[in-house]
Amino acid sequence: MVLLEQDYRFCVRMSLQILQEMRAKLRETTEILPNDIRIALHTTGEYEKSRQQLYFEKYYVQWLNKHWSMMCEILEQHTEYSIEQRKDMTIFFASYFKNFFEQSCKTQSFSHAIIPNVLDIKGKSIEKMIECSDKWEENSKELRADEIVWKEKYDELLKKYSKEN
Amino acid sequence: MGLFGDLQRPGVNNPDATAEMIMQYEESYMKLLRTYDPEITKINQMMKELREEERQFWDEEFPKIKNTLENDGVLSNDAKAKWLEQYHDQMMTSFKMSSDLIEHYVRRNLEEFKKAIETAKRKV
Repeated sequence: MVLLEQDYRFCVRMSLQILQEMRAKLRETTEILPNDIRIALHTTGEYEKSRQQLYFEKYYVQWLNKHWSMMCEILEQHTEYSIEQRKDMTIFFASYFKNFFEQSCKTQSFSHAIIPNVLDIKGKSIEKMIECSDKWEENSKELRADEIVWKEKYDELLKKYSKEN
Repeated sequence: MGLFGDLQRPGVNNPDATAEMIMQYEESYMKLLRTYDPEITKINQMMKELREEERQFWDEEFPKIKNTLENDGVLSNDAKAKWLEQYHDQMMTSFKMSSDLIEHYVRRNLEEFKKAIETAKRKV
């Protein structure tokens, strides 16, 4: 994949914009804590700590997934690019996004994840997308759908925790 | 001109260069700098914005949030510490990604500029 110069510039600017906007969202959340996080921050007992970790994990996995959806939304708005150009741009973003996931895996946030390997799974999906560039569109949709899939997984686990205790 | 100005000017340290050759080199070099000027400005702007965002976050916003949470007498201390740690980690990772992207952009532009200089040198 060789991006044309102006496409490359667009990709870099788009990626920087996404990272900046997602940082702004994270800052907003921490200033005005959403209910889920507030509930998690009130936990004190041993059992509650697992539930707390689930809430935090759910929030951060959603936040990470949102970077990908945002990229898809931006590319959709730019109808001036051909399918081939959008493919190259998607794969460009994927290579940085993969690094982002790998770095996030190493942080304390995910070193004791309740859903183990949640980010490894994501990282592998992104790698698959980069390697099988012919199926990029299908793989990109899958990655985008992850936002809902993982939310449901976490919501299910949280319900389970609530029933068992 | 910062990064781009550090590249060796064509004609420097060449004992066979005539005055005319050196002038032609310099003209090509200045022309290239003018062509790349918008990119150089853009790169400087990107770096400046990122540095300012980071400075504001680490010097002002993070200490403020930390203070607000620590002074909240209701929330669990362990939970607050954990949330702050995760917030800190994810912001740091995100800043690093932005920095890596800009660095890649700079390197790519520098490579292009070098190639353009070599082409200009060969023509003289």
